[in-house]
Amino acid sequence: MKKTCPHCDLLHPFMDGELPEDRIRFIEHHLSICRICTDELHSLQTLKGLLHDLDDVPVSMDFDRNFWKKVDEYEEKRLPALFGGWFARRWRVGIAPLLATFILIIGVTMVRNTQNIPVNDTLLVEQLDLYQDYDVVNNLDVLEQLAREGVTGDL
Amino acid sequence: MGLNEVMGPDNEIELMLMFSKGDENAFRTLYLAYRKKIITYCYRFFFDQELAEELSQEIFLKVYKAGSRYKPTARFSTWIFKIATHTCLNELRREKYRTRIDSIDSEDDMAGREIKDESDNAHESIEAMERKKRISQALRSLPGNQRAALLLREYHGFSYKEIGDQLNATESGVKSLIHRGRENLRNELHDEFGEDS
Repeated sequence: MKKTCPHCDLLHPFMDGELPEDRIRFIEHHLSICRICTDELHSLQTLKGLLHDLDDVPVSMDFDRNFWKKVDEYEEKRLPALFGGWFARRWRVGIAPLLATFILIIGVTMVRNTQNIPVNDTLLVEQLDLYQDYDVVNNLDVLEQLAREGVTGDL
Repeated sequence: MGLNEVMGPDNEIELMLMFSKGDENAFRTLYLAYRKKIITYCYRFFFDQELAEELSQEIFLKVYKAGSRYKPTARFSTWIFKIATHTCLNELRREKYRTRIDSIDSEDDMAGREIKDESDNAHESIEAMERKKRISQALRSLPGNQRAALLLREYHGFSYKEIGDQLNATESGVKSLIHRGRENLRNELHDEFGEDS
C-alpha cells in the first residue's frame, strides 16, 4: 500500500504557486525531511512534464475563411432584424419626422405658387380696380359739362 | 504567465471596449492573438481537430456577438476561456459527442492528429508517439470539470481563482478538481511513472 503524508495535499497548490509565503517556507522545509512528499512532488512534476509533451495543433488553412464567413452570415441576418425591430418599437417616432416633412413640402409649394401668379392675372386685377371707376370714366364728358354749369353734389 | 506575450491584459480590455464601440479591427487583433490558444484548448478537450475548429469558431462568434454588451469585469483571457470552457462542456454533454466518440475510437483517430503531425519528424521515436497517445487517452478519460480545470491550469496558466470564475466553482473546489484530475491521470498513466508510484 502506498505510504501517505498529511502534508501531501499541499504539494499541488505548492507546485501551482497557490500557497502563501509562510506555507511555502513550511513545505520547503518539510520536503527536506519527508521522503514521501519528496517522491510525491517528483511524481507530480513528472506528470506535468508528460502533459507538456503534447504539441500544439496547427490551424487549418480554411479556418479563418470559414470563421469570417460565419461572421458575415450573422451580420446579414442581424441588420434586417435590427431595422425591423427598430421600426416595430419606434414607429411613432419614425412617422413624426416623415409627417412633418410632408407638411413642410406642401406649405412651401403653396407659398411658391402664390408668389408665382402669372403676369396676365396681375394685369387683370389692376384692371378690375379701373372697372370700379368705369362709370366715371365713361361719363367724363357729362360730368365736365355739369361742372361747367355749376352743378355740384355727389355724382 | 505567458498568455499575453504581445498584448497586456489592459490592452486586451481596451481592444474589446473599442470593438464594443464598433471598431472591427480591434476584434481582429484579439482574434489573431487568441485563435491558436483557443483551438489548442478545444483540441486538448476532445482530441478531434475538426471538432476543435468547429467549436473555436463558435467561441469566437460568441465573443463577436457579445461585443456590444461587453463589460470588463475580469481579464479578457479569463472571459474568453470561460466562454470556451462552457462551450466545450456543453459539447461534451451533447449526444453528438457521444456518437462521434464511438467513431473516433473505432478509427483509432484519437490523438491520431498528434501522431500524424509528429510522424513528419523522423527523429521522433515510436515510443514517444505511443506515450503521447496514452496521455491523450488519459486526458480524454477525465470528467469534464476535471479536464477543464487541469487544461486551464497546466496549459494556460490560470490561477485557481480564475479557474473558479470560469467553472463557477470556489477556489477550494478548483483545488479539489485539479487534485483529483492529477490523481486520475497518474492512475491512467501509471506505466510512465516507474515502480515507485
